[in-house]
Amino acid sequence: MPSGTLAAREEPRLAEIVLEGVGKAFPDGTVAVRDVSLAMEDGEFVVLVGPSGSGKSTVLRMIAGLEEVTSGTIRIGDRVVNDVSPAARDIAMVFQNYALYPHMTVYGNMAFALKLRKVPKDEIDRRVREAAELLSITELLRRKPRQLSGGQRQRVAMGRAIVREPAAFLMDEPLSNLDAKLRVQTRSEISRLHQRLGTSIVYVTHDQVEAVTMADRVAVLREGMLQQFGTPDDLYEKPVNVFVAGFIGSPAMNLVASRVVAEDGDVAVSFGSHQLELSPAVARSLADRQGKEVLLGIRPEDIEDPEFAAFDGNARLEVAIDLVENLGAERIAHFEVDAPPVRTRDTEALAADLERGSEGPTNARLVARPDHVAFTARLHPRSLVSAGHTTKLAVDVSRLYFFDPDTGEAIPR
Amino acid sequence: MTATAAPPRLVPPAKHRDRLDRPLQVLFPFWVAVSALIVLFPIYLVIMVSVAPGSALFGERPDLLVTDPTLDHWRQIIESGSLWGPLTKSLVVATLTTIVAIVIAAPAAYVISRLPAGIRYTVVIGLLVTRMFPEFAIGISVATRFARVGLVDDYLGLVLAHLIGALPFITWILVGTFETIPRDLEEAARIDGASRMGTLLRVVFPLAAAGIAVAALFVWLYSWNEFLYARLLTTNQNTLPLEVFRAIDRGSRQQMATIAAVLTLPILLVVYFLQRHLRPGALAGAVKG
Amino acid sequence: MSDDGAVGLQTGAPARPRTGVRRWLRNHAFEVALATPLVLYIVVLTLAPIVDTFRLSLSGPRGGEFPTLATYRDVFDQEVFRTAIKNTVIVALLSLALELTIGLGVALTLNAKFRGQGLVRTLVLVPLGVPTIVSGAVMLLIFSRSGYLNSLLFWVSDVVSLLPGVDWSFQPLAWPVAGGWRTLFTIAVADMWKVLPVVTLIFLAGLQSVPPDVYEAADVDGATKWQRFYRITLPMLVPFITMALILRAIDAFRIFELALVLAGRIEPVLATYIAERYLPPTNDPFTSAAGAVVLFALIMVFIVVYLRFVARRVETAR
Repeated sequence: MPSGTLAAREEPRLAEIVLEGVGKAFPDGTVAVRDVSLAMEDGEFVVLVGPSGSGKSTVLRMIAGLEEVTSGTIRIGDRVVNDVSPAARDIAMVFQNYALYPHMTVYGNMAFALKLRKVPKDEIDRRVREAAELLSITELLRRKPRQLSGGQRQRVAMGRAIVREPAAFLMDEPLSNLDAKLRVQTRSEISRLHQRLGTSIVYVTHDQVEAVTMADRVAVLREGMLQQFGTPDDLYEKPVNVFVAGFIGSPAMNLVASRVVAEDGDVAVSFGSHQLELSPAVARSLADRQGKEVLLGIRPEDIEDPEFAAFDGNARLEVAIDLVENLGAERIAHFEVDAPPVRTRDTEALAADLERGSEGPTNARLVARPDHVAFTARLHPRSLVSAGHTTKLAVDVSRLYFFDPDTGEAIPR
Repeated sequence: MTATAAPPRLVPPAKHRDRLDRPLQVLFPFWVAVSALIVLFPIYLVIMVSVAPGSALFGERPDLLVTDPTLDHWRQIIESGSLWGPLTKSLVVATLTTIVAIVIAAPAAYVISRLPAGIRYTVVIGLLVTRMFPEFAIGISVATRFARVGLVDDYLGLVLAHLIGALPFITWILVGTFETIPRDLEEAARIDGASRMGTLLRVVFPLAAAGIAVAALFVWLYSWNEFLYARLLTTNQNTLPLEVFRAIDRGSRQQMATIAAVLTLPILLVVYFLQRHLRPGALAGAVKG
Repeated sequence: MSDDGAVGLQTGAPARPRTGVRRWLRNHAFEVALATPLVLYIVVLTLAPIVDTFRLSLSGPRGGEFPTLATYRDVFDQEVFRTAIKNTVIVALLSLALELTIGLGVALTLNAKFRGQGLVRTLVLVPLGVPTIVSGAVMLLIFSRSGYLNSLLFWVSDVVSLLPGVDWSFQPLAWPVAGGWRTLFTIAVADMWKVLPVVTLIFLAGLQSVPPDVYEAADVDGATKWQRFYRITLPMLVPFITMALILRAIDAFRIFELALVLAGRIEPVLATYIAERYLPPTNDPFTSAAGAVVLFALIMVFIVVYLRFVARRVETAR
């Protein structure tokens, strides 16, 4: 029996991955990552998410050892790995294009790393077959990568990582080359695999749906900086800034520039011709901003056909519905609000990301007229609200989000 | 403008794209056949003349067909022994040149292929610019120096000279080959635990094997055919191309044709094997840079 | 960031910013080691000899003082040298014209679909496998006094003479040694035959790079066959024509073996002149080096003129 590998597996390996002030500047001067600090726990499934250019892949590649760290430190377990070669970091990686060796069979691909580590033949064979079994690719072991479908290649890439029995898996957009249906299926398979193996996974994606459905914790990055690191619920309920608020959730949060107004002791928020009265609790958090501008965020599910509204209150928006998309389980209503759109670096980054066609269900915003903002609402499937009519929609004012117009940061509720 | 002249067709014309007009269609096969004949005629001539009896080739109207072929000239050349020296020299030099060229060019081409695009492009252009210099501009100086250190009439000297022409060319071909090998394969290998050298030997070179083989054949061909450096660096022991030249200068037509056939036949084989790689598509990438 | 001008290889450990050349060298020791043999070779056996040739050409006749233009004055005074330049230019332009037009014709032919296309495509490659010196020998067989061209022309004159009222009795010619344009034409034809595969392949690549739907669009727009060729095929071929032309021009100016075999001393070209001066019995590396430099200059001038004027005008005419 291989003493080396066995010993390594017997002693508990702490695979917490800790980034402290990590930065990456390329020789040409571009700074891809600046000052990212993250502590991922052993066995955790962490997703790094952000639009393209956010530096998420660079962070992953620095953890893998494929990019040199130009500032800060990376620890895996209790070892600073800045100067450790990728091979010695005890990690396995699944590449976006799978990076299967075309000249080797599936078996050869999976066995390659073990062969290099001089693991005995029977041990290699056992591990490869186990992993193949787990991924149900046993019948493919003799094939070459070019004889495989996209989904099969993806599994082989996973298998190649699994046989390593590494302390952590690194995955760089492993699903982006699969078609939509296969992607959803593989997504749940990876989650199941994680539950079964209990090995840490660091997973990079640009798709926030993928991120929130799979992750224990999500790290949102933008322009090389960490925006927020927390559970999917945290990100959804307590986004730290406009960027995270707009990035997480689908359809995206409605954002509009508004003003806090006080009348007869009642505090309201007004934008365009609309005014929403605030509950005393919410009003208190805005106490020092009366008469000032704030950015208002409303999640689409917090706007509802009054007939079906599950929340109390009589806050209403009277709007002209442009389009209703019937998705069966819900109806997405699109309308415009006559208030200036939110223009900050954050929202512009979001808009740019939208234009690049980041995926996810109907996030398509209708082009708004100048000084109008496109809004979406998720209505009850049996709602009779229809396009071309002006109607009143109920708003759950207890779930409004407010952000500072200058910094974009959330105003705590 | 022509829209009025040509009435709109109901059937999409796409399928007729490559069909030629009627008169052309009739003449086309003849044209193809004649071109093919013109291309093949010289080969036929070499072989025909090499087996033609002496009488068949003289007079103002030499025969195009040999009715009584003879292997006399082949026998003569083989028995005289004058063929073996040049044949050996050409074979050894071509083979050595090929091996050394691959050993020197392949690693360097790999490095070039991994340079940032702008620098890579400059380097490749630089390699090709060395071709703009007449071989003589290099050869004269090289030959004078080689004469001083005794590398004239020497296998090594000729190998060194042939490498001058071969290296830039195959480096260029190999850069193209290595560029097609995705970098993430190397990264995967490094994560799997391979060293830089291990990655090169176990992943990159095996994947480039076909391209390297093609490049090797090209080098072999080049060296086997090379005349100019051989001329400058030879006083006694001829290579095959020099031997052909000698026969042109002094020999009979049949001798000339026979040696030419010896020189040509192996190459036709090489080209036959290469033709799969001489697809126009392979060149398209080179043009577009 | 790359204050030392360090080049970050994209694979391998990238350069750390703000560090010296030594740091860079250490990070890239592997790449440097791999590339060194080639770099050394090119420096020692290509660049140094080129510089050396320039030096030789600038030395006085028989290696006297340096630097001097005496050797250049010397060679330009020789009538044979001036003829060589003239012949080189004529042969180069002639063979370029032949190669490009015929190469394009053959490529257009091979781009059409017909039975046996694969076979013909293979056959067209055959000259690639024929050593240049052999194609010279073959051209001698064809073009010499008792050669096959004369044989063919005899046959034609026989046939023509059967017609009433025509009286043409053919006088056999030894084409290469006839001197003048016949010799140069023979060389150009020989060169054309030899490089036809290369030119054809380049043009075929160009033709195949035109997406079929462009032709379909032109058909729908009602373009005639000629318009299709002139307005679509030809403009899209321009980069390929440029590449073929430059590649071929470099070789055409340097033409050596074919000129040596077919023309010998009757019609010298620059390369044969250079060789003749260098080899015994002349043994004069200095004039030979000057000839090589002139040849290089000729190639440069041609390429620059082509790129500056011709290629640009075609570019703007489109």
